Amino acid sequence: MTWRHLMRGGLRQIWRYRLRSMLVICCAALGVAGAVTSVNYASGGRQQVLSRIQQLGTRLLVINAEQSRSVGGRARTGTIVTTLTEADYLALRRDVDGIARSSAMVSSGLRLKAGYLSKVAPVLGVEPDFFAIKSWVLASGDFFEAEDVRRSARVVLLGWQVARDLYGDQDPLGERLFINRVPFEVAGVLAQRGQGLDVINEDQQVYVPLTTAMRRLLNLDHYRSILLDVEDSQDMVRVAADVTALLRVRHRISAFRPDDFTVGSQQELIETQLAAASRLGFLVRWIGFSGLVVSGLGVLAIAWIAVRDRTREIGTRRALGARRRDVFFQFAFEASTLAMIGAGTGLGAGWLASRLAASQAKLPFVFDLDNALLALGMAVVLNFVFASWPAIRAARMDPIQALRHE
Amino acid sequence: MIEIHGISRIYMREDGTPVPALRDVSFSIGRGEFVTVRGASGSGKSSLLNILGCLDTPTAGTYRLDGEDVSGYTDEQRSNIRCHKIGFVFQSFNLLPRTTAVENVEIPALYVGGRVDRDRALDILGRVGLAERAGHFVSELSGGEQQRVAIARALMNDAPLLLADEPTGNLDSAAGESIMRLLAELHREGRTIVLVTHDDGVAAYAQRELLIRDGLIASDRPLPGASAHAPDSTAAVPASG
Repeated sequence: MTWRHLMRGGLRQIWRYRLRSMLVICCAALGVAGAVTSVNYASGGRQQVLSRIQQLGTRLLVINAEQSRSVGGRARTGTIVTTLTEADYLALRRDVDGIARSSAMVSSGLRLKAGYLSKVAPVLGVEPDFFAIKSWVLASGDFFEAEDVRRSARVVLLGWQVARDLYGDQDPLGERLFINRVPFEVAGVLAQRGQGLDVINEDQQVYVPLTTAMRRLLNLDHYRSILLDVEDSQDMVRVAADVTALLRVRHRISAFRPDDFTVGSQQELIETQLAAASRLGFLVRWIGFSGLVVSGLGVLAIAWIAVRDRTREIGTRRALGARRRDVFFQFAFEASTLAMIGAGTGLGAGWLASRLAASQAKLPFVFDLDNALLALGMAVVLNFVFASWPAIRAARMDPIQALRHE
Repeated sequence: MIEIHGISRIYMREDGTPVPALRDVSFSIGRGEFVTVRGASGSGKSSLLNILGCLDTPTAGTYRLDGEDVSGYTDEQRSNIRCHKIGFVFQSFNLLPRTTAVENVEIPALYVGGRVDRDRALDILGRVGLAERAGHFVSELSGGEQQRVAIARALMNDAPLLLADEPTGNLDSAAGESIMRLLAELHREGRTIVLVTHDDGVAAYAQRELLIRDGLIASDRPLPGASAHAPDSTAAVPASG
């Protein structure tokens, strides 16, 4: 049998048994679409985790001034500690190597007032590098600069949610905002970020120059915390150790006393999140793979039934001169053509479904081409194997028995 | 055309006991003969037909078809022989369902390789009187018409030997008769026909009758009615046993 006849005859048979053909196509398509969609969905989730980690700062060390101590029988921590000073900060920048950027920070919940609206929100006093460390961009306006910090300028950057709450749809740029009755000018609105991995919603905070917060709002001469952006992520542990040693010396903490500060990184959080994401990815790939196998088994079942139903035809064809391989090729061609059509359809359907799932789940749309092709390749191989098996059975049939089959 | 010498066919039961279906059968059929094979069910006539049709190989003995010893042939070689030398006509027609008449006729040509000659298929359909039904699906044809399509299919590769297994068994007498007339006509054109049947009416068309009983040829006799049909002069070899 020539290839042309094989193809023409095969396509004709596919059309003749169109219900069965549709079943095979659907089976193969659903398998591939399911695998592609779930893998893309997992990739989207991973992508989101990665971008949130990026927001968090992957090479971030945070020094918090903290000391547990008992004051009148109550545990006190945080801002009460007045030991983290500008001198410490300068010494850190001078003596510890491998710090790319840094920002000291103070914060407090203060009352904001714009026109008739007012609300209480965390106000953070930060240096311009804070936003670079957080890889944060503006929705509108300008960041404040070193100059604004130097002269304690009364400018404020609004978190996206605060801008919404106080100004609604209006453009807040250049508007007046009172923080604890001190007038500020809105210099910019930050891009929306949503809730971070550290569960702080940065959109609900406002940001002013460090010195402005310290002198004009809070009247402080020490910091709440210092953020350090380490140049090389390999260096995190070393830098943390250096910082700890330096601060202990500067704070004259004797060997057996605990630190009056903490040096923390997001490393653990990041690792947990990444591990969760990759576990999910693994699980999803497994589910996708199982789906593929199940759909392959569906193809196998239908092809098997087709061979059984057409036993008489096989006997007849053999009697009329078909060789074993003619019969094999006929059935393998029919089933694998259908499976290929199905797999192709499934790839398209998977693309659509991935888009839909991404938009429904508000995840970034990722079309993981490598995995999609892997799924497609696996489907092709699986379906070919599963389609060949009944075809081999067909080819091996004894023509005499096949002719007698009712 | 057919020379059978000392053919046996022994089947094995599952428990290993041999069941002989044919026992040391010898006969020959000349080119252009029209032979009927008769016998009760279980007599071995199906086994004989399977061997004659190269669907099965004998356990012992030699089978020469058209001068070629095919008894030791592989599956593939036998497929080739079936393709080129033998046309099958079955009791239940065995046409492919959901397929048109002419496509059924074309099937044997698929296995020759090369181009399939649709005009030839239509031509043959015309010869069996179904020119107008060529494009019809098998399910739209009557039993007699279906058997005509099957005969046309058997002729597609111009096989010299036609093997018909109860071709009239599923037909009413009128349709059966027309099929027999068609076979007789093909016989007159010089084709060798071996026909297995229960039907006595068939005797009127054949030249010679082989009667099989218990795996042996019980009788081999010329049929009187056949004299009208210009017999080929090859003499029948008496059956052994």
